Amino acid sequence: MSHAEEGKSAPSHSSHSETSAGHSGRKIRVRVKRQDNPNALPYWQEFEVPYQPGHNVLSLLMELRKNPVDISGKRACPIVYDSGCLESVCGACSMVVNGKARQGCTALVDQLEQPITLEPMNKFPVVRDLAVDRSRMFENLKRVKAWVEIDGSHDLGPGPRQNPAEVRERYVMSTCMTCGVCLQVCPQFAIDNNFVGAQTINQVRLFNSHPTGEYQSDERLDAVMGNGGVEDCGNAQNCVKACPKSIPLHESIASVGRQATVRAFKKFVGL
Amino acid sequence: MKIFPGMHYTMGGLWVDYNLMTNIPGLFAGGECNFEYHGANRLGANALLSCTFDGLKGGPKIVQYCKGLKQRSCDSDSSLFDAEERRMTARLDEIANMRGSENAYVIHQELGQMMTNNVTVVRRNDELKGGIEKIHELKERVGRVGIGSSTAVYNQELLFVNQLTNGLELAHAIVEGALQRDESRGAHYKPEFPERDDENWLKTTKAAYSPAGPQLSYEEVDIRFIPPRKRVYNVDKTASA
Ligand code: SF4
Ligand code: FES
Repeated sequence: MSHAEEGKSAPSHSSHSETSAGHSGRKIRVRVKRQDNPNALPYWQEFEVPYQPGHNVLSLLMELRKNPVDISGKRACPIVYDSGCLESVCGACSMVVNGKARQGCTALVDQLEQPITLEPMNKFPVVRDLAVDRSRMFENLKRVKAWVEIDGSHDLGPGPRQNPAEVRERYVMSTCMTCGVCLQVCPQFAIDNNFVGAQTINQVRLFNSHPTGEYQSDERLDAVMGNGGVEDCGNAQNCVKACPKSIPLHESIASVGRQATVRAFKKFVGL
Repeated sequence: MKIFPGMHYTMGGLWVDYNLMTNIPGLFAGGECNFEYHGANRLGANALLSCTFDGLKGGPKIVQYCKGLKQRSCDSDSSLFDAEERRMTARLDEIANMRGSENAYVIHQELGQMMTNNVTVVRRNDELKGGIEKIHELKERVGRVGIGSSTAVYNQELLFVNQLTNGLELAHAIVEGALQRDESRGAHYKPEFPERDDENWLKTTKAAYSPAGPQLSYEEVDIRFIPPRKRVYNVDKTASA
């Protein structure tokens, strides 16, 4: 993946730390946007963590929990954040690191400019500190039936044969981890509108192109047509650049857009 | 990321019967959280075994169990649920009001370090005994943690302390089980006892909770269909024995 492009500051770049670290060696400086509950006002807090090579943002936050004291020496509540896999497959740890939406677990401290700023994604409701409520995405997955419908637990026999090239193409789409980064960077997706966004549209393409999943194609398309649907995409293509899984989201949106047009036409002429 | 050789899997989990039901009636456990099949070493790709087999078998068994019930939980007296809710709320309140000087995350790190140093693949009895002493120390210290998070919303620290308290019990069961087992088998290697000892140890360790520490007992291993044999890689497997 494209972590190399984030190497704005070389690991040895530590001029600022000499002023703050004193005799105890290098420190990592981090500013965190905090919010005590969904309705509270956010505020910033700054911390210093003794330098260790190889930290990522999550391991840094773990280190902070062991001694949650801010730079003025004041005791702080441990910073709340979500995480699961720690290896960029669960999507739970999305946050805005130095202004860029990404996974905390793959954001290497040695490659980040300091002070590192951490903010929650602002396209989702903040639960507390860096933890946001991503349920809008999961609700959308339910609406579009992002699964292959199999009726009952009786033996259905082997599934239809699939072209390996198509399987490979679909595999990439299936790696979506519902992290929300594509929605955070999307100019059309707002916290208070109902645009479905790239993440859900990509799943519509995935399941509509599955030989058994395609039986629910019409229902899936109906769920992403009309107000807030695929037509609301402004084609900014921020999503495809930001997706940590390199999913060709612009192709998914184009494909589902075409399917929706055909569906609309068929409905119009009563097919 | 730091890398070191270790066991590939924890090889243990909740005890279940052949229908995947735990010793709590009606509570089923499927997949990697139960102890089934793997013995002293889970071989690569056997995760597929537990997810497909447990799903295939556990699903219908759960349905069967539910159909056989004389009374449904929603018909039970609500006082049962209320009492449990009160018990859990009291437990969480108790944690939320802890104002000691210990930091739960530090205790967790110390536990992890000890388990990594003393209780991975190579296990020595003196180190295991030292590990149990450490667990006693940590169990005492976890009673003196201070909760720094004030608001009730998504108080991860509270959940963490609850899990850590249970995690210490689990670690205790693992170390105690390893200490007793004076042999080498699968991913459990004791330099003092380098050989497998089927006469004494061809059995599964079970641990039950007690406030004083894990109570161990043993269960026979079903070897009717596949007799145990040495797992070695430096022989020609196609040659007849
Ligand atoms: S499409 Fe990519 S960016 Fe969007 S939710 Fe899935 S993995 Fe995240
Ligand atoms: S913790 Fe799972 S993606 Fe970062």
